Amino acid sequence: MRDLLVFGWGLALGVVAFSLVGGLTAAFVLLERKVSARIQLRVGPLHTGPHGMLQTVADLIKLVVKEDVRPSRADPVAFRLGPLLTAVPAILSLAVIPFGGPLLMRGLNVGVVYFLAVPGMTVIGLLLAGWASYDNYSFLGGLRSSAQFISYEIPRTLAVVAVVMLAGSLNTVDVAAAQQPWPYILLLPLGFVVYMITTLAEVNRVPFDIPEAESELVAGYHTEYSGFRWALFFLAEYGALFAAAAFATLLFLGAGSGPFLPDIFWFVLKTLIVVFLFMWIRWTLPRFRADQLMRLAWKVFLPLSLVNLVLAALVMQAIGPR
Amino acid sequence: MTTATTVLFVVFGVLAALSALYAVLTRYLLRSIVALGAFLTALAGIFYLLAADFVAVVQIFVYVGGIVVLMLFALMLSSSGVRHPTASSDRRSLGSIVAYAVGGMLVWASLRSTLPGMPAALPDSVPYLGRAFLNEQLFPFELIGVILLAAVVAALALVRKERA
Repeated sequence: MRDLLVFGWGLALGVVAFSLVGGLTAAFVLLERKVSARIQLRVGPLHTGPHGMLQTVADLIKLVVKEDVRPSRADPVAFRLGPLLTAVPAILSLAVIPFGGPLLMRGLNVGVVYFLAVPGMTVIGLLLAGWASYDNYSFLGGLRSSAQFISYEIPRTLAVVAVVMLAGSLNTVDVAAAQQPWPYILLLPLGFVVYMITTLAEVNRVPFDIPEAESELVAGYHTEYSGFRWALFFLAEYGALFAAAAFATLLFLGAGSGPFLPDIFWFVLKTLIVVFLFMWIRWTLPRFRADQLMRLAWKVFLPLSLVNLVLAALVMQAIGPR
Repeated sequence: MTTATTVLFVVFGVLAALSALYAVLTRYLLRSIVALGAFLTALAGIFYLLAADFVAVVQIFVYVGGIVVLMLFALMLSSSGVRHPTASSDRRSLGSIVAYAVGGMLVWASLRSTLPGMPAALPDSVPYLGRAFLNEQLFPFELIGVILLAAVVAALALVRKERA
């Protein structure tokens, strides 16, 4: 009986996570439009609801009732599977983020590896979507995104390894607790920079949005998608953005530690600041070329992340074993 | 094992068996690779239920996120023009004989051997794994690295020969 309760609780949490990511996506799309408008000296959405706050809700209703268009020569199975395999891992990765309060999930001893591993499945979805669309732009976008993901995964993982060395645990709750006096951004500033920049590449944002560069690939792997399936790609993009920002908060910004207010408040606040930082970068910097992107990953970030590992070892020697 | 874990174990087991069969039997290479990915994910679920959480996560990291993506990538880059690549339908080749022989040997070995009783699961197996890799298993661990390096050099040599 207790088993069934645990099982049902898990299912309920899954539904909550899915709804949470859905709501976040709507909020983030609005935020992104407002932020980009301010940076480009515009006002952004203004007329639907107070200050245009209901604009994404209206957009979402439009997307859901839109006709589901599929190219006649597209592979039906892969075309449907693509958006699903892209969106689900982004939501699953939230399972190990210790937000605090009732959302302090502590099930997995290897949560840090889980967070690096599960979003990796997204690439399969992008490749399938790009291939199944039967369209050269989509196909190129899918291939580019997977090449980019595989390349940037290596320095990003090494940046996380340095944090794990200092924390001495792969459990996300322990990593948060280990930063009690000083957050790791102070001990490992280089690691933080490497993590943030490679994360931008992992979630396909400018200056690393080569897979969907509109000036050359129309919209990359989701060129042929419309309606709800297209919305799923958006869900995946902003879900991954939120998860990556939450992970940055957990690894480098001291997780939920802060004065007076409860953990969950500080955790969400720090995460939102990181999300804003990502948006700020997106609307200020131009995009890299595909070859520059690869050179940057292998010739700059891989060596930097190795240097960071050595620095982490030195810090470990200095503060003594944990 | 509790009831819920038993149910999940059966679910993952059936999923693994079905997706593995589909991966072998379908003629479409792309679907075969995706089914292989599903099989490896189900296998990770089984590892997790057997209290090997690190192995489960690494299974997804390396096999689903690495090997399956690499296979898809290779398929898509190598079959330009052919939009739905298929495997040859000949199942009597030398490769299938080797596969049947290995499969038969594995079944025979698992029927003949008695499985030792499982020791109590460790609360956190990662430190033990790490120590094992860097102490008693150091030599095989390093050897695997050398083999992988040789594979990379071999791949480079093949590509360079084609270009020249």
